[in-house]
Amino acid sequence: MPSTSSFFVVVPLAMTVLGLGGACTSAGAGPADAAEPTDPVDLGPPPSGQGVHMTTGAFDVPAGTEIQDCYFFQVSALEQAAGLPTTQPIDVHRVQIVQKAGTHHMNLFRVRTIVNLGPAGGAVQTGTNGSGQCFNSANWADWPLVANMQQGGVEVQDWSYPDGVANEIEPTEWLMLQTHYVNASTQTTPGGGEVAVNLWTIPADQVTAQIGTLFATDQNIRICQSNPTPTYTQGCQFNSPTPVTIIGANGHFHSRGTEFDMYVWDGTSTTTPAPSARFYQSLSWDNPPMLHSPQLEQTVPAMGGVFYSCAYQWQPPPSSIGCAGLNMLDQTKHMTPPAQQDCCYTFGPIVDKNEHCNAFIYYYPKVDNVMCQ
Amino acid sequence: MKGGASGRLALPALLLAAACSPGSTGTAKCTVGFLGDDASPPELDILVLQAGDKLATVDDGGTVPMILPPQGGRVIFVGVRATNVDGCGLQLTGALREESGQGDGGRQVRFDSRTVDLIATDGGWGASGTGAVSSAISNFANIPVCPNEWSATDIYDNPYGLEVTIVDREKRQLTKKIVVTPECGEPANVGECRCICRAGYVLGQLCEGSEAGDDAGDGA
Repeated sequence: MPSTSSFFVVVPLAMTVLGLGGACTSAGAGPADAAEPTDPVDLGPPPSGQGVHMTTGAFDVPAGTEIQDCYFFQVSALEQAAGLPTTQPIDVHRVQIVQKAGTHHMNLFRVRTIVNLGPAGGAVQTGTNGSGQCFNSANWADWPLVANMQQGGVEVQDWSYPDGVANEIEPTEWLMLQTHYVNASTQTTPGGGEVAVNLWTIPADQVTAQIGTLFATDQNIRICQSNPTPTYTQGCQFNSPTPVTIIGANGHFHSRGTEFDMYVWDGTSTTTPAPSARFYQSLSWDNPPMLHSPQLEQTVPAMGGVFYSCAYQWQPPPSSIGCAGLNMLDQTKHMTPPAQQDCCYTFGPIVDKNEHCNAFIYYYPKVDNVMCQ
Repeated sequence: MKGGASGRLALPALLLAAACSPGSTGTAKCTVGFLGDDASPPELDILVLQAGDKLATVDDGGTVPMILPPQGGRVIFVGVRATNVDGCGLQLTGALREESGQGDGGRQVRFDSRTVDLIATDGGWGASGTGAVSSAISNFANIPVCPNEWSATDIYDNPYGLEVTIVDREKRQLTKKIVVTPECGEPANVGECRCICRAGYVLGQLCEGSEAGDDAGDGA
């Protein structure tokens, strides 16, 4: 049922928050678990006291553009809207995400060090075609991941962590929901963008382990026409003297990406682990699988980690960009001299011009130190 | 004497005369082809990229520079000079490993692996490319060694194992292992380097005179 009868509450920073559980229920916006919504408009908030709700609202994605917007939510405001105590942390145990078709990705982060992007800059900070602070990953370099999706179709995620596992988030924290929609050559957005998220909670006394998250990115990738099928490999090690369990994983690259693999790593080898150690594979750049428990529960040995690799197939850029456009970007951003320009896609967020090799991992119990290569 | 990177290669126009033509129409291919004798086993020398875009060979017992890369921290840029291998689509893996494991996980290691094209030099040999550091670094294994959250000793002034493996498209393979001593390779920021590369450094800890743990780039 569409939640058009839900309340819109103005909270600090004029944030749109749908979170009045009881009111929503009585007003006709059904509880979120009543049915599996496939349109973000239909994702109602959890019942009062059971979780918080965030939405971007609908927005346009004009043809020929890439939109990347950052939405800031203060946890205590979300709690207030959701009928939860505003002085206690939330223990997130279940995540629901619904997005409109065309999305390139959404990431939900916990705000940490402020560089050039933060809630003081406004509740919604927009970016278009690579411009704007919401496009600059240096701005969220140490912001822990809470949830993410990388699929491009009409996509839904509804994931309950294993019993007792939760993500504790303090009321004083800010969350940043980042949404990236593409309506250009390699992806299209037929009906505008919109994202809705529910974070369901469990009582603190039911929590037995904290979930940890890992966002690993290889920034020195280069996919060039004269070296058209490169593979890049790195690893991340959990600094844990006891085993951890991976319960969620997905990978992200752009249209030159052909294969994204993740393996359990012993923490000391530098060769690709045995095929039996592989727990994730994506062969679809625009619809990568999001694996999670209970289907994915992979034990990593003490002081082990994740070994991940991205393989690519170079392709000619869209005619609107051409090799001249890629070479110009290579020169201005990387100071590559003309003699070494080679129609290369380098690390960055623009789908038609850049490539990525990003691994997203969810595991428990959380460890203080994860060392990525 | 800690030998240091032994000898600067005269990088003739070798590195500017790219074996792979830059082209602009999407048709260029790596043309370096097979280097040397395909009936002979592969051979390699280990190269490291130094500050100021200098390339040097490094031998057992030598020193290797730790350089500030665009992504922050410190890396050792490791390449090869090789023969008797296919110079196109070569998988290059570089790793720095503790000489003696003192932590919970034994001999800890940092590594990076990537596909590169070599550039023909002379006598059937080819070398990792270079040029402006920021563009050439993707042709070298970027071994991420700092911040030091992985090794029980300071990275600098201590011996570590440097392992380099090449695998060509026909699966010809060679690994070379030597012992090296990393050093902070850029005089302009030695203080920060020694701060973030020391044993016990904690990510986010401020180093005197500069911010540690910086990062750059554009992300998802």
